Amino acid sequence: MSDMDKILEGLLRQTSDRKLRWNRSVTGNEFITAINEISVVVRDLNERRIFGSGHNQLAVLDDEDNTVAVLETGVKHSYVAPDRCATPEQAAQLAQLYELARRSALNTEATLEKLAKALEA
Amino acid sequence: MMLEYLAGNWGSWVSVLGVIVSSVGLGWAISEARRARNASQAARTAARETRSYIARHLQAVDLERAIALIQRIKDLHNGGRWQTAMEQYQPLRALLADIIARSSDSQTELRRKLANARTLILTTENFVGERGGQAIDEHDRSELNQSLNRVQSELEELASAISLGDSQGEAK
Repeated sequence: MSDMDKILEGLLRQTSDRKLRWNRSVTGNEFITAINEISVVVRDLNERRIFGSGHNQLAVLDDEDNTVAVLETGVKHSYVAPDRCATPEQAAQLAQLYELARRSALNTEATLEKLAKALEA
Repeated sequence: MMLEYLAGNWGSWVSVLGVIVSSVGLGWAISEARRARNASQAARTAARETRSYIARHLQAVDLERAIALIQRIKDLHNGGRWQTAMEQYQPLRALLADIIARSSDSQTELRRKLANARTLILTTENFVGERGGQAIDEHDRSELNQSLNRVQSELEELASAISLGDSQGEAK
C-alpha cells in the first residue's frame, strides 16, 4: 500500500466520521482541509479541462504552501509524472472524497435536514 | 552518687548529646533543602508561565496583524486595486506560516486552523492572479470578499481565544 493510498483512505475515513472539516475555496470547485500544518486540496478539474467528466485532483501542500504531491484522474501518463496519475481504485476514492469534502464544506446534511423538517410541518 | 555516675560516664553523655545535636542538624538541613527545592520549582513554574504568556501575547499580536492585512486586501479589492492587493497576499501567507512555525507542537488546533487559512489565502491569490483585475466582475468580487471574511472570522476567533488564555492546543 503506497503512502498516497494510505492518505486517501485516511482522508475518506476521517471525513466520513466528521473528524475532518473541509472549507470551500473562492473558486467553488475546490475544497481545503489541514492536518497539523499540512494542507490538502481536492479539486474538480472539469471547469478547466475538456476531457469529459470525473476529473479530480488531490494536492498536498507543505508548511510553506509548496505543492509536494499531486494525484490526478483523467490524465495520460505521457503528460505528467506516472506517480501523479491515479489508479482506477484511487480515481474512485478521489471522486468519493471530492463529494464528501463538498458536503462537509457546504454543510449539506444540515441544510437537507432543515429542509426535510420544514416540509414535514 | 549521681555526680559520681555522671563523672564516670561523661563520655557517653557527650556522645548521646552529639547524636541529638547531629539529628537536629540533619533534620534542619533536610528541611532547608526541601524548601530550596520547592522555591526552585516555583521559580521554574513562574518562568514557564511567563514564557507561555509572552508567546501567547506575540501570537495574538501576529494574528491581529494578519487580520488587518486581510482587511487591507478587501479594501484594495473593493477599490479595484488588484495589483496592489496581489502584493499583500504573499506577506500575509508568510505571516501565517511564521505563526505556525513559532507555535508549539502541542498547539495542534491552532496549527491546523492556520494552515487551512494559509491555503485558503493561496487559492484566493491564485484566483485573482489567474483572472487579472479586468476579468473580475461583481460576482467574483463578492465571492472573494466572502472567502476572505471567512478566514478573517476564523483568525479573529483564534486571536480572541489566545488572548483569553486558551492556547488552542488539543484538538476539539
